[in-house]
Amino acid sequence: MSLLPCNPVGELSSHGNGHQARIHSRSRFFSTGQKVAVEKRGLLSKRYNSSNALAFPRQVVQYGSFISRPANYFAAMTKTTNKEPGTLPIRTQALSSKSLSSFITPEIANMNFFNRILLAWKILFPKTILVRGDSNAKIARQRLKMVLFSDRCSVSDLAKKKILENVVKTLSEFVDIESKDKVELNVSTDSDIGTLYSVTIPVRRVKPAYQESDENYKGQIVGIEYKDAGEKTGAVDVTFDFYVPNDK
Amino acid sequence: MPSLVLPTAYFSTKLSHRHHSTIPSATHSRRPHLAGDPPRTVVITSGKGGVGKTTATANLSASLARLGFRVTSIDADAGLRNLDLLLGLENRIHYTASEVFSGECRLDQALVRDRRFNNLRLLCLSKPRSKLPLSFGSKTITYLVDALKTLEPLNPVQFILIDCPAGVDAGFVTAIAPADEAILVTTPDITALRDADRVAGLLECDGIKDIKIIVNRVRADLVRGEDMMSPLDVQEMLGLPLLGAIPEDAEVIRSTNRGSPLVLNDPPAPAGIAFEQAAWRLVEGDTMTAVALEEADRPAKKGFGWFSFFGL
Repeated sequence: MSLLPCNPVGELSSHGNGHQARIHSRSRFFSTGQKVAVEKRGLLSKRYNSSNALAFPRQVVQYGSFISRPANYFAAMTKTTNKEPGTLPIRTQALSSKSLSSFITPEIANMNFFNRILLAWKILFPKTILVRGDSNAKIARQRLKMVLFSDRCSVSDLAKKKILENVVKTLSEFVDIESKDKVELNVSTDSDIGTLYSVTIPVRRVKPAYQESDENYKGQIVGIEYKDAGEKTGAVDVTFDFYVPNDK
Repeated sequence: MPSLVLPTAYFSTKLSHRHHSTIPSATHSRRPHLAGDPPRTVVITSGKGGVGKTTATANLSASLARLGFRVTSIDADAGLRNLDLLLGLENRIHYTASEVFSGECRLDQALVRDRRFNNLRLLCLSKPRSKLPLSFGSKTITYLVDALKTLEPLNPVQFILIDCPAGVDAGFVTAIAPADEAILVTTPDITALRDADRVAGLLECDGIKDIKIIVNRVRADLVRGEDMMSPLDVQEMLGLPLLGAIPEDAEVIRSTNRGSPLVLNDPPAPAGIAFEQAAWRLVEGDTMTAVALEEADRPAKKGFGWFSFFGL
């Protein structure tokens, strides 16, 4: 499966997904036969310009041993252009080219060709990792947790009423409750804690005996903002919250 | 404690010399140390049917008998009887506990001795086709178990294993009445675990605080492939100590059909080894800690090895 011979790695990025998709289709063509050669030649003619003349054949040489039929084709190509001895190898060439994208790290560039094929394959066909949340055991565990919590801690209606009454009675020593009809008891499950009983009670206000000291309650500081106006002067905004009880 | 153990050991070795058992006796370099006060009454229950209670009872009692302890197994299912089939004693049951209570026979006549082990006895509660089904209550069976404990003062029974019927109705309540400990057998699927949780709650309400789990029919391949819950998950869910994790084994079916408990196989089957270990832990009052299964190496597929290059 020789995907990349026509396209040096440096070029891979510059065309985005469409380009990669074309690579994909071409890879499949490679295994079929004659039709391939035509298309390949066309691509080669596009790519084989002066800037890549050196890059292309060097790459070909490296993988030439792996491919059966196309190998002959590329071997023929290599013979014609393997005349420049003192040129830089492809890898450093690719690094120095401006069209190099950032994801070609030195590690990738220094991998040999077969590993690059491997990498490209893994990019194109990512292995579907079994997400823990989708596995049957995980689903079963979640369901079982919910079921066990609801089975273990299901409270009868009588008990619910009594809980509410007791809680309301205890709480009304300290606070004034808005309306006793709006009091609710909710049983829910939480994965960390377990079963949660939440009693919702609308509270009008705290009873005077249990309030914090009056002075504090008259003006509670809600917010402080420091505003730097200049070097010598500064301003501080302090926001107060005043509560004047109605029935005083 | 040592003084209690010594006379029993003396008796059991004497018996084994006299009667040559056909099954090669397990050569244990040491015997498990019996924890707790004998006789220990253990009920093996599950709630959901078909998870392997009777198999576990048969195999545990066979293991215990082979280890040298005096064991009496009680099939506490008054309507349907299965424990005798697993032990291979179905032809030898003539008297059951209902005949004892109606006065037709003595208690020791109703106890069927296993042909392989002298210290293993089986007691069935009633015959399935009896015309006068005697309904057993909690007090009746407690009286029966007390009588069993004091039956042979010279050679007292050390373990009484009660095989509980399925469900949580009257039969269940009857079976758990005389027990001090419980073994909860469950499989790692969600239905069995829900029922096991309910049963654990019922047991605790009834006063049995010592509950241990045996996870049966564990398929390691499914656990590894994240399709089945592991014994570790089961233990976490139920919050009870783990006595043993038994792998799924076809040998269970074969041994049931043969009428010989699985643990007596030579060479031992994997499930048999697990049952043996569970019996050992039961005696010593020990529990096991489940570990997460490790990912085994994938076997190299022949002929398609090169696909692995591409991550397939």
